[in-house]
Order: sequence, then C-alpha cells, then structure tokens
Amino acid sequence: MTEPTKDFIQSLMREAGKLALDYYDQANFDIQTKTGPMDLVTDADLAVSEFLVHKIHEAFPDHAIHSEEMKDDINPGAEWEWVIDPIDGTGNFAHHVPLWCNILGVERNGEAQFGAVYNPIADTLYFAEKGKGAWRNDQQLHVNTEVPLSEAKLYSTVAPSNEHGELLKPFVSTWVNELGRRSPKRVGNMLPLCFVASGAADVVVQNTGHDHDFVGTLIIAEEAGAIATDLYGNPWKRGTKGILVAAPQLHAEVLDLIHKK
Amino acid sequence: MKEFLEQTIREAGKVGLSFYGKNPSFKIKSTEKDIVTEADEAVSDFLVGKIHETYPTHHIKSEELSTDINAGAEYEWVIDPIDGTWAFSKSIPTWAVMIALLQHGEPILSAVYFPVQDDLFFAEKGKGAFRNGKKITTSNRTTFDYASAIVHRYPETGPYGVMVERYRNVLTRFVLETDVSVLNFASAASLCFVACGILDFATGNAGLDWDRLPTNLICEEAGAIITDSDGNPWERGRQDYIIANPDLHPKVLAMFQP
Repeated sequence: MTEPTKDFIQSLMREAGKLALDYYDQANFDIQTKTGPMDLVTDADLAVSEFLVHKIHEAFPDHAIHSEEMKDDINPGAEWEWVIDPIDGTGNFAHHVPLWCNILGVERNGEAQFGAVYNPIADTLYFAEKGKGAWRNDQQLHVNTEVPLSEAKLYSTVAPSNEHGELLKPFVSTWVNELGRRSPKRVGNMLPLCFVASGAADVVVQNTGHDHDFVGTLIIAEEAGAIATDLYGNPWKRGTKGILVAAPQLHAEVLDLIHKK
Repeated sequence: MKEFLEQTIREAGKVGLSFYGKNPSFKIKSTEKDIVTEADEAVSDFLVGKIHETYPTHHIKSEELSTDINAGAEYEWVIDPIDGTWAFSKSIPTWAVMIALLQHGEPILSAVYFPVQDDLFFAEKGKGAFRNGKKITTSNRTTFDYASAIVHRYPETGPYGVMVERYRNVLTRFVLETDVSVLNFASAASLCFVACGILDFATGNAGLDWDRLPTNLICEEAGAIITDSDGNPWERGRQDYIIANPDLHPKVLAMFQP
C-alpha cells in the first residue's frame, strides 16, 4: 500500500474504537489530571494512541504521524501526515457519558484528504474523503440548507480566557438575546462538527481545540456542504485558534454577527 | 414492583434500540424538534401493555397515550417512552426510556435507562439513587469554578417552555459572568448526570410531568435540592427547575435575582 485507502482507515478506526470501548466498559479509571479537572487523560487515551500510531507506522513507515498523546511527531515534514486525537471528549469518557469519539485526519501536502470520527458506543462512523462526500456509516450526509438563522442550532464552546474569548462572549449574548431561538449547546467534544454534516446542528463556533481536533473533523463538515473557516472568514490553517463552521446559507450572517460592534 | 420496573425498562430499551440508527419514518407532532418516531410509539405500546397486564388497576400516563388509563388510582406510572427523540432521530446516543411510579401522588420508584450503553439509573424513595447498582451522590463542588451544568433555555413551543425571558437572562449571565461550562446533551434524561456528580447543577424552563418526575426522584435521592426557579419546592406541573447540590443551590438561585 503506498497511499491510504478508505477501507484501511475505516477498519483501523473501528479497531481503535473497540479498544477504547474495552476501557470504557471497565468500572474504574486511572485518571491523571493533565491541565485541570476538566482535562482528563485516561489510560485508554494512551492505549488508543499507541495502537493507532503503531498500525499506521507499520503500514506507512515514511508517513508523518502527529498524535495528541505523543510528545514528538514521527517523520515530521513528510508528504502524508496522519493526525490523531485518540479519545476526544475524555471528560465524558471518564464519567461514562456516551458522547466521545476517536478522531483521525489524513493530510497530503498540508491538505486534508480523509477524516474519520468514530463513536464506538453506538458504532457510528463519520467519514469523509476529499471531493467524494461525507457519510455516517453507509448513509451519505448533507448539511441542512433550508434552515434560517432564526431556527439554526448552534453548538458553541467559548473559553473566556482563550484567544478570541472577548470577541465571542458578546456573540453568545447576542445569540441568546436577539437571534437564535435555541440555546447554544455544548457537549464537550468535536462531535458537533459531525452533527453539522448530518443536519443535527447548523452552526459551530468555538475558540477551543487544536490541530488534532480539526484535521479529521472539518473535512467531514465541508464534504457534507458546510463552510469551515477561522473566526474571521479565512480558510482554517494548522495552528489557527478558533473556528466557524456553518451551513452555506448561514456562514456570512454568523460571521457578521461575531464582528458586529 | 422494583424488580418489575428494572426488568421492564430494560426490555423497553431493547424495543427502542431495534429502531435506533435505522432512519425511522418521522411524523411531525407539534414542531420539528418534537418528532415522534415509530420507536416512540412502539416503546410506549410495549410499556403500557406490560404495566397494564401486570397491574390492571394502576393509573398509567404516557407521553404517547392520548388518554390516561385508570386516572385517579392509588398507584400511577408516568412514562416517557423515548426521551430525547431528537437525539434519537439524529443517531446521538443520549436518549433514554424514563419511568416514575407514584403512590398517592408521591414518587416512590424511578428508573431512567440509556439503552445504547446499557446504563440504568434507579431510585427508591428513602433508599438512595443508583447507577448500575452502585450508589451515586451529587458532586460536592461549592463554587462555580470548574463547574459543569445544564442551563436550558427553551423557546415557547407548543406546551413546552415557560419564563423564556427569565431563562434568557440567566443563560446570558452564566455565559458572560461565570466560568461555568454550560453543556447540553439533548435529553431531559441527562439530568441524571447531576445525580452522579458529572454535572454540578441543572436549570431549565421546559418539560412536562414525564420529563421531570423520573429524574427528580433520582437527583433528590442522590442528595440534590430541587426547586422551581422562584426557589420554592418543585411541584408537579412546574416546567422550570433548579437541581443542585445543597451548597450550589443558593448560588444558582441567586443568579435569577437582578
């Protein structure tokens, strides 16, 4: 195999998810605190990372690999790069809330080619391939292009002390008070980017998250028809903090709302 | 009745699960979010049938039943066959089957079952709350620092949603004035997460008896204080609620004051 394939990625993710699930089903976790009580790392996180890194490196020894749980990248600068968040939503995972996932993205020359997000509890695999579309298991996904801003479902994570925190606080206030009829939702992981793809959400705005959260998820929203940018409407790039992902009819309006004085 | 409830709710979960992720054909009830799936009706039919067969004189109230059975009887079963139908319809695994049993109007047993991960919350009046057989208690967090909560402001939609302005203000205050992580798991059943300490408190403005009664007993037996948003003990019929551990409850209530 010289290039990654859909089959390889999908079966890899299901195996990784199964491994995570073995830990999830155990009653007690050995939880270490990373940066605060909200950011829990479990043994599972490390085990899933090691599993994925090993399998990918074995199949593609000259590819770059970047994982949230690995200190140094493998083959940095290679043409192909695999970007891993072994368990996203570790807080939910640790407390047995069924909203967590495994995230994998594959870039070629810095451009996302594949994205896979797997929620093992329900055996739900979100998958996208550049130019070919997005799926939830075997069902192709499309954003909801009918919904107006007044009915849009927003998932928003705003960390006041993070970069762009001051920009987004008034946005959330405006949304609650003047526009959206619905409360902004937050689930503690990146699944809402897949929800935009499936039409379960319409807008995601956040100033949290890292490359390993976005490489594998943004492509899923985009391939289902969403527009994904940074908080200023520019294409998202590695290292960028802050994302705005929305159905195409909503993106410009939400961007205006964020920057409304 | 305890064993019956535990066994029956698990069976009901299996009925629901057999429809999950299969794109059930939807009928719109009152709004887009209030979707009744075939699963909802199938689970309701199963539960109503099973309870009525076992306890033919008991009162049964289900979200999917247009008329109550035996209204006014000593024992009353209150059923939400699938709570979180929207999540269910979108393949999001936080939906649940919820049942409360009341005697002379007082909740005595309650069960909330999340079938996707085989996760059962159970409470018996005066005997405590349990998750998969293990005793659970609310968190002991005393401040909003690092707190996680549900702050649910729902628009007026059919019979759901009251005090929208009040909840609009309080949600804005939580977002702008505190570092509370405001979460939403798209089901009333997720209020159980206050009972086991995953969430530190919850407040919201929408939900009818079958949404409130099952989780209330579980949270109460886990040590939570439950009031309406005026601070009075919660009473049946109220849609607004504040559920929190005893230390946090007054602080949450204070956010409602100007």
